[in-house]
Amino acid sequence: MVEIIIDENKCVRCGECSDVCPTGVIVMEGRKPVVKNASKCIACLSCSYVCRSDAIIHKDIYIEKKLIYNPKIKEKIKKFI
Amino acid sequence: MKIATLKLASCSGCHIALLDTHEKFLEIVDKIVFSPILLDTREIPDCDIVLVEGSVRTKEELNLLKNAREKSNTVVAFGSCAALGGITSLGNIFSGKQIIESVYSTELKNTPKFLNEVLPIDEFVEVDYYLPGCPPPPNLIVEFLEALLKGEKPKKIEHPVCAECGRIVEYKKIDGIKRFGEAEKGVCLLSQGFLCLGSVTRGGCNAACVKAGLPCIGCRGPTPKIMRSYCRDNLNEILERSKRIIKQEITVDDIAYFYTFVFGSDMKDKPISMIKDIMRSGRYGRDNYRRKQMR
Repeated sequence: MVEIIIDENKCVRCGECSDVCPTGVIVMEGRKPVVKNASKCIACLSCSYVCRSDAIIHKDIYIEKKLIYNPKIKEKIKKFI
Repeated sequence: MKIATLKLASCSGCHIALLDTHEKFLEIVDKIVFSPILLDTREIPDCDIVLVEGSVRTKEELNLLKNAREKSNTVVAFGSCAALGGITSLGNIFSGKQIIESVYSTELKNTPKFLNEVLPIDEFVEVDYYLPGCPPPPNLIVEFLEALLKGEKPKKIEHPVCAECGRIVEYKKIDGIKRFGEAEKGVCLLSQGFLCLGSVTRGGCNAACVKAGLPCIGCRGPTPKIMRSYCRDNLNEILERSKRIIKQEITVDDIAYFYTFVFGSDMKDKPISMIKDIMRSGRYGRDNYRRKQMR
């Protein structure tokens, strides 16, 4: 099972995560995204991809593996502050 | 610890930001051994840290940079021009020859030669740390230098400006896209029709501009998310997001606005990025022709 953490301070309440979720794990309750039945999560990471403020974290799953296309840039990112 | 600062093609604003650290500056002031803006010294001595400001425009600057790399242990790309190309790399839209012809009426003699392109310093030498920002926020400079002087690893910032902004998205219809104007308080600038780059820009500035009601122009460069993914860049990310929020088609005239601070960086190697198209249109295309006619 995947544990999904949503940082409320970072969230801008745009609701894109609940729109994009294919299995309906993240639901909007009013203006607030809430994780419901996390056991359905298939770890597609779409919500994390679309989130504009990096507020969604899937525990123990790393997006880096999926998205890096250039080893030179991978080294460069580590040095940015 | 000896600290040197170097100024290449830039406005020296990052040096002013270094002075803007107030009383914290007094702690490092006796460690500075070379600085073209602050001290009257001619040659770089051996030192531990070099803060390089600005990008590489001429051959002379390239030599200065290589010299600094040889004499120091740690090279820091200080400010957006050094780290990503910044404002100075907008000069890439025109070739060096075109720029000289349009600025000077007489022929130049004994001046340093222009390179073909304005590039950030990591194209020429190895860089140990990047501290982007136009200028870098003083609180970040203090934290960064304190960590370096203690011999620790500086703290990294990976979240975008949106995470610090505090404005909330509202879905509503608006009249059209605005560049400047008065912004409503507490509501996301994208849903008010401003093209704010906050969602693709690295945070750490405490969203100073956005909190004051000005749309973010992306001075801290792209977030790691944007940098490492193949099919995302400032232009398509902002336009798509804006379209989804205000629910209407958008047309934008000058797309160079989205790339202001990353024009010379390796963002241009992405197949999706429009940077190379902008360069082509300026150097060989219609804009160039119009410029000649005006003269």
